[in-house]
Amino acid sequence: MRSKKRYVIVRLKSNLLQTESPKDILKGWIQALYGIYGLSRIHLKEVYSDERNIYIYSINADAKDLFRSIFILDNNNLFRIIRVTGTLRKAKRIVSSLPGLEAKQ
Amino acid sequence: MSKKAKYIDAYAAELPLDKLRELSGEDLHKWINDTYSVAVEAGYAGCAVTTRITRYKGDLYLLVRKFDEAVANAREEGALVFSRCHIEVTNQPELKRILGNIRRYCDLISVSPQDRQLMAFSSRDHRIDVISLPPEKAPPFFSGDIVELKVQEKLIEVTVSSLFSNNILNPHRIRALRDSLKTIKKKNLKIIVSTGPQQIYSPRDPRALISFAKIFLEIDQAKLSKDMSYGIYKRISENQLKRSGKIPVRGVEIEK
Repeated sequence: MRSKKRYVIVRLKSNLLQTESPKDILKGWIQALYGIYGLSRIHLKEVYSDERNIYIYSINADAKDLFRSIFILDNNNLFRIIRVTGTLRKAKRIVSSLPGLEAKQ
Repeated sequence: MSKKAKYIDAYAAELPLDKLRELSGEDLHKWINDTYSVAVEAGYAGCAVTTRITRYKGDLYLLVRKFDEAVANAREEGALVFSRCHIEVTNQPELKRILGNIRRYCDLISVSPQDRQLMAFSSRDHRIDVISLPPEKAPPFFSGDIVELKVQEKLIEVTVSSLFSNNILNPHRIRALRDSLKTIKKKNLKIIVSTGPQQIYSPRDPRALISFAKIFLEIDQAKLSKDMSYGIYKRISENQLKRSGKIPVRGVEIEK
């Protein structure tokens, strides 16, 4: 049976990351807390990103708490979870309604 | 329609008493507003800014009053901030003197008991609202303590900063906290997770804390969410009514 997904909209504080991609940081945190088991359970995938430093990641629905808990390692408040949705369409609708898109375009 | 929980960081940025003495009213006001903005940015609706008291001094109440007035000013401007005093002393007589000196000048009072005697006293004294579990060396809760904690609806606090040592999560501390919380969870007492003392205030997303507590400390997620929002708010509101004279004695509320 196909596993259910959740789409997590994340905003990254700009200009703080020079070398690593946000996905690598999140993967590093997952690995630090839960190891390979966590990586396989959460199954993190980047599905959207834009110039406003907003990202949408897909995760396994039953590992939502595992994913949320990794942000305890976010010492510098790099990430801010804006919303978790059940469909990509809704996530994209929320992203397009966030301020700043018109200004960048 | 479900109401969205408004989380309050019960232990936001900490200001030691010596620094509080040096700060001017304007600087203090700025510090409180900055702390509040950081808490809101992290996903909290409000926060309790904290001053730490480690020994008794005659003029203690003057400093705490200054702190509380600055917090009240910020609140009048629309910021959801509260004043909290965190007491860390090693003997009971000193704790009693401090409580008598400052109780009417702050919204929340917390104690971090280092030994059994202080734990027994903190569980029973009505002036104490929050018992903050110290990392590693939390004294055990006895049945009498549990009864009092339950009756008085006190909050048991776990701080994020106590889980870390040198910026790394410390598995021994997590295990120790999980053991300390075993009885508390069984007896359904109120537990909260807050940021705790840090050099630079960097609060985590409250939902991240709740998920972390669910997985690592095995605390019920729905109950923790309720305690971290309505639980704290209820306690603070009660204290504010007591301070304003609307609750002159326990169990009596004056309605106007």
